[in-house]
This record gives sequence, structure tokens and C-alpha cells, in this order.
Amino acid sequence: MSNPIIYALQAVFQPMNFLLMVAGAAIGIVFGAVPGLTATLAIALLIPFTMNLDAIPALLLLLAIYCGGMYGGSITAITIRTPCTPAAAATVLDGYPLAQKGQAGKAVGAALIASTFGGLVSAIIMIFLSPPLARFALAFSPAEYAAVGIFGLTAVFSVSGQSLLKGAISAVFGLLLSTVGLDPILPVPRFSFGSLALAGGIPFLPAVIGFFAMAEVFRLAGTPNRKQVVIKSIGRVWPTIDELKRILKTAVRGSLIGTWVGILPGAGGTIAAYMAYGEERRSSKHPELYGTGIIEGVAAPESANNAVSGGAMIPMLTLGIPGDAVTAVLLGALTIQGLQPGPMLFKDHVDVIYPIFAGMILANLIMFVVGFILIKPVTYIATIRKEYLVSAVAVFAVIGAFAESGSTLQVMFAVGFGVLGYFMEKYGFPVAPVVLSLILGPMIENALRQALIISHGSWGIFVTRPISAGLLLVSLGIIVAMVRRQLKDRSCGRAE
Amino acid sequence: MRAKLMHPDVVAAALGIAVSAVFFVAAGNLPSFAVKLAGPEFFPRVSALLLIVLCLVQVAVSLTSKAGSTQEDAREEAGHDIRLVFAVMGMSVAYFYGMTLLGFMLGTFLYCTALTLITQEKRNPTRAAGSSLIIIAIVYAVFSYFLKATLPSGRLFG
Repeated sequence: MSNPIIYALQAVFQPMNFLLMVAGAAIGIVFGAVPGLTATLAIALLIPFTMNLDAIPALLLLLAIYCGGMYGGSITAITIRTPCTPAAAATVLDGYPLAQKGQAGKAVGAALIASTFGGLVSAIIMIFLSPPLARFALAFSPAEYAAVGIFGLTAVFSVSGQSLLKGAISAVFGLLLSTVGLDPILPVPRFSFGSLALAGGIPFLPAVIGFFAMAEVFRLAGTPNRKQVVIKSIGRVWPTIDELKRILKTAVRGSLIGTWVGILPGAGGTIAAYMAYGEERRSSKHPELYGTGIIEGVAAPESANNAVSGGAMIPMLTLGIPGDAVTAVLLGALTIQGLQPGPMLFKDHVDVIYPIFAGMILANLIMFVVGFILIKPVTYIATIRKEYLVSAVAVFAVIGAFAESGSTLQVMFAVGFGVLGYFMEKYGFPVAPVVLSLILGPMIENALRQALIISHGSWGIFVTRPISAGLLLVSLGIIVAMVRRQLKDRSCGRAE
Repeated sequence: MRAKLMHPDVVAAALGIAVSAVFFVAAGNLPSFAVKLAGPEFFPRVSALLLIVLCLVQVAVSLTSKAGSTQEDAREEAGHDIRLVFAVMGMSVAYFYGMTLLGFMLGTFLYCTALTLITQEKRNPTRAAGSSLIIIAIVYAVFSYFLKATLPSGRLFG
């Protein structure tokens, strides 16, 4: 590969790859906009599609879905006050009031421009930060990898919802599940209880399809039918020059906040969106206008939540630790393609890394064009009746689980995990931490045990090595801060 | 007190403790390793113990929380029909077994139509059957033609 940049551009502009990205952006936007569907679900359902594709087209498709999905939630958040992604909840604050004033088009246009800007800024930061971080990580020993894995587990807090304790229970349950199968160091079967089905461990794809897709099918089935919402005319979408300047000015700060939050495993799109909104209001000359329907109130959270995508890709690609549920599933997709995320990816698969970089930039630009075209159609698609969603998602999920290996056993796993996932979510135990732990568990165990072998059983290896000690300290700090915040929120709730 | 012990969070925590106990005991049968802490039983046992501790904390939190201000009350969606959920779960299991007998086309058509019918507000068999045919056509086109993936075949019908 003489010139990696030209190679990357050639890869992303190949007609088939380009078309896949257009399709991915459209799918992501639709899944982000329709209540009951999410970008994580879209990626989980489409991973089986990607198994017959080469690595680059597969990853470009999934990246485009990721970018589209982060924006898609804003459309229904603004038009019908239904944020279909948690990160879009902050967009409702000013987006819906704008729609009530008859300026829904302006709000959606602002969301699209800000989302694209946020995604582009974070993609550029990802391109510049990832290679040096990967080179730095090449010097990591097993002790550092174990500490990185534990640090990555703090991402549980970004996907735990209301109860950190239940999120922690889900995460540790996932760690336990990850020990099923062959021991990574001694070739002995663990916890298969004589079953051939479990001898190879918990299969990742059926687990993801079960937890995210089948569980959602069961939940949707029990949800009462929504009243059909009539969406009034969207109106003019494209902003004036003055409005464009205000959007871009706001988006700069939102993008930097979102990228930084995305890099941290313990935070996610929702936190980024609210932080950006809060920061914009705090620094505004007219904070009293926020919440009444102003364009900055839409641009800030939207730029931040799309900027999370590039930020979250940095630890995922360089260290192999996912920052949120979506990157956890993406990491699984990379593994299915035979690529192991981490510093060795940058050493052994440069032919994949550069197209990923180019793909993130192009995916955001494609999302802008596709998003603009789909604004009005999506507002109709978003009101699709529940019964059609349930049957379509169920069939795609079951066939997707089957298609991976042609085995009906995988379907059994998917349905089983779907039942488990439904009841877990029903009683407040989030499923995303289970998936995160299924990925991080083997990495943490392998590294932990190798480090202990090197140190002849001494735990001191984790505290005498500065990077490992530093990461463990930061992880502890994040856990303590999150627990204190939740206890404070609880006591404030009780006082009210 | 009895009501609090039957609280879903307490029941879930108890199940978590039971699962952890099974893993902890089963890990004792795994072979040992030269470096004791690096053996195959170490990580599962640590995870099991950690899960037991967290579940006990959850039990304590649930038992000491005020009655009537529980999180699941907030979570419970108004009008959520658990019977429909169980019906769809049952249908999904039947679909899995049915596909091995009937094959993809017939199995999926029956599953889809049944799902659509029971989740429709006003039952419309024609619409249910029509939407099933569209879904099957899309899945068949995507998986068979585009991805060249094998769809499940049945013992009775291909």
C-alpha cells in the first residue's frame, strides 16, 4: 500500500461500498427515528448481513448505520416529542417548542447540520488521536490490558439507566456468563454442564440479537397500540445564513464536549447531550430563552451526541474497549470479521484502519444528504403500526441468528436470551452491561491471569506498573463519583 | 414484610445468588494450576462472589425502600399486556421448532401472520397475511439473493 490515504479514498468510493454507506445511513436514520427501534438494534440485526461481505464494506455499512442512528432520534424528538434514543431526550427541550411554534423544519434542519458537524469533528479527532494512542498501547503488558479492561467496564455506568446497582449486577452477571466455554489458558471446558451447545461458550451474535432485538419484540408486543399521530407540515428546513452561523458556533463547543465524553468509557451520548445543552445555556447571554424553543438548544445536544460516535471509536479501535452499547456491538462485528480491535489492529491491518477513518468522514457527509432527503418520509415511517414492526423485527432477528452458522441452536439461544432480556429490562436490570461484559470478560480474565503468571501470583504487579495503577485509580474514581451522584440524586428525590 | 420479600428485585437478587452459587460450586471441580490465582476457577469464583455481594446489597436496598415508591411502579407502562408477551414468546419457541419441520417459507408465514394478528388492535387477517408475504419476500430476497445465505429447510417441506 504505497499511499494509505489514496487507498482509503479508493476503498470508500468504490460503487458498492458507497451504496452500502448510503443504505446504512438511511437504515440508521430510520431505526433511530422509529419508536421501539435503535441504532444498536439495527447493527445487531445487520451483523449477519455483513458476514458474507469483506471486512471493509461490512464496517463501512455498520459505521454509516451508527452515524445515521445517532441523528435519527432527533426527528421524532422534535416533531412528536418522542425521543427514540436517550441521547435525543435533550433535543426535545427546545426542539419540540420550536415545532409547536410551527418551526419544526428549522429545528430538524438545525439538528441535521449540528449532527453532521459533530460527527465530522469527532471523526477528525479520532483520525489524529488513534494512531499515537495505539503506538502507546503497543507497549502494554498483560497488567495494563487487565487495567484497561476494568477501566472499560466503567462504561457500564453510561448504559445502566436509573440504577447503577442493577447495572453493576447485570455487568457482573455478564462476566460470569463470559466464563462459559473453553478456558483461555488451559484447554478445559468450563460450565458446559455436559452440553455441547455450551462447550464453545455463549455465542456472541445470538446473545446480541436476543438481548437487543428479541427482547424488544417481546416488549413491543405487550405495549398498547399508540394513537396514530398526525404530523403537521414540517415547513422550511434550510436555515438562514444568520441561523447557520448560530448553529455552527454552538456546534463547535458541543462537538468538543461530545468527543471528550465519547472517549471516556463511563459516559455516553445522553450525558454528552445534556452536558452540551447545560454548558450552552450557562454561557449564553440569554439563558432564560432555553426551553422556549431556540435553535442553539437543538444544535448543542445534537452536535454532542453525534460527536460521541467518533470519540467512542477511539478506545474501541486502539484498546479494544467499547465506550457504549453500540461500540460494544461494533466490536463484536469486528471480531466476527476476524479483526481484533486493539493496538495490533493498527500494526497488522492498516489496510482496514485507513478506510475506517475515511469511512467515518464520508458516513457523516452521506448522513447529511440522506438525512435531508429523508426528513419528511421519516416522519411518516415513524408512525408505523406496532404489529408490522413486531413481526418484521422478529423474523429478521430469527433468520439473522440462523444465518451465522446455519444452526437452529443459535436461534434457540437468541429466543432464550430474548426472554431473559425482556424480564431483565422489565425489572430494571439493563441488558447492555451484560453484552459489554461478554466482550470485556475474556479480555480481562486472560490479561489478569497472564499478569499473575508473570508475577508468580503477586498482585503487586498491578500497582507497581504506573499505567496499570493509574487506570485502576481512575476506574475507582469514576465508580466512586457515579455512586456518590446516584446517592445524592436519590436523597434529593426523597427530599422532594 | 412478606410483600417486600416477594418484591421482584428481591426475587431477581435471590436468583442471582442461586446462579452464582452454582457457578462457585462448579468451579471447584476445575483443575488447579501451578500459579494458584491464575487457574481456571479463579475468575469465575471472583465474579460469583462479587455477584452474590451485589445481590445482597440489592436485597437490602429493596427491603429498606419505602413501599409504594418502587422503581418498577415508575417503569411499568400503563396498559402493558403481559399475556400478549407470553403469547409471543410461546409463538417464537413454536416458530423455532416449526421451522425445522415446515421450512422457512411456511413457518415464517404462519409465525408472521399469527404475530401480526394478535398484536393488531382491530384484527384484519387479510392485512396480516399480506404484510407477512411482504416480509417473507424481503427476507428471502436479502438473504438468498443478496447474501447467498441458506435459509432453514424443513423435514416436511423444503
